[in-house]
Amino acid sequence: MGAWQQSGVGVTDLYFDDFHVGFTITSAGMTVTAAEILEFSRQYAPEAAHLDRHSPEAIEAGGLTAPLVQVLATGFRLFLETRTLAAGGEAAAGADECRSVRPVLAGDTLHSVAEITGARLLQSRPGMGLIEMRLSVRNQRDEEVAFLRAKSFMRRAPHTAAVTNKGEPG
Amino acid sequence: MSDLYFEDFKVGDVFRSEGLTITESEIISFAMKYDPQSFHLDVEAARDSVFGGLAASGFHTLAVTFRQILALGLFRASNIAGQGMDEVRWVRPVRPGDTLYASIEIVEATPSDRKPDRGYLRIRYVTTNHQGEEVMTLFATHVAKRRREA
Repeated sequence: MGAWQQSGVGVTDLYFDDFHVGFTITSAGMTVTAAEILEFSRQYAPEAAHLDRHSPEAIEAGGLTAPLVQVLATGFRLFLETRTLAAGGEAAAGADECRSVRPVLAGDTLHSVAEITGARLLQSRPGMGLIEMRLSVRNQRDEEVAFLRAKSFMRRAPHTAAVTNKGEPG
Repeated sequence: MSDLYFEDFKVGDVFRSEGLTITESEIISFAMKYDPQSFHLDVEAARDSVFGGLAASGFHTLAVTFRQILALGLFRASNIAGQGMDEVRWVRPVRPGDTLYASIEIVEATPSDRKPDRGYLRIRYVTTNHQGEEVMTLFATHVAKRRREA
């Protein structure tokens, strides 16, 4: 810590070296509207639970529920807006575990909490590390509604990129 | 299609979707809402990215794949719940103009011990493009109703 402050880079310009296990990043909140659930579901998940609030599925859930992919994508979008990945991140190659935990109803306000669960330098790619994270999507009562685990490549800070990979953190 | 229940699915059964062509405007409008990273949004910026050109959000590919399998109506009668996905791998970028085909294979079928009305289907999803290249693979578990015993 401190290196980016000294170099005058903004605090949101994060690189591999800024992450350690246990680091968490909490996003802002965003309300999921019925219109958004309908729009997404008409195109990608045309099932009664997501489209028809009078269906038995919706009545049992207490309203229209959002499809899991929409919930995960919304949580990921909120995480992106924290700009955690903006400077050092590369596209993720996958997600190891995605789970629905509770229904998301129209009107729920979601936020996400990303927790770093692993961080290691890559011998095969100097200047690059791999971070593992658990992205928890939570509602206005701070109940978890869904989560995913993913790995993301993360560049080292420019001034460390030339240094060989030794003295691995963690 | 006639109604299918847990017992009707056998390990090794494979089901294939129709093709669905992904347009540039769909890629961009999905990304604007759910995955606003430059390589999903901006044709010029994407050219200089790791993708070497505009690529669909992985969440977009997921959503399209589930839509294509849903359209087969396989789980219309038996659907209780989906539990989520494992080992989602975005193997290759999905490009504007790609036609995607989704297929599923039943890899395990396990009756519930505690709830005699249902069973668990472990399903491998493979999404390919029109050149037959895999673009995404994953596993999902589907909770399916059993036929009512006579």
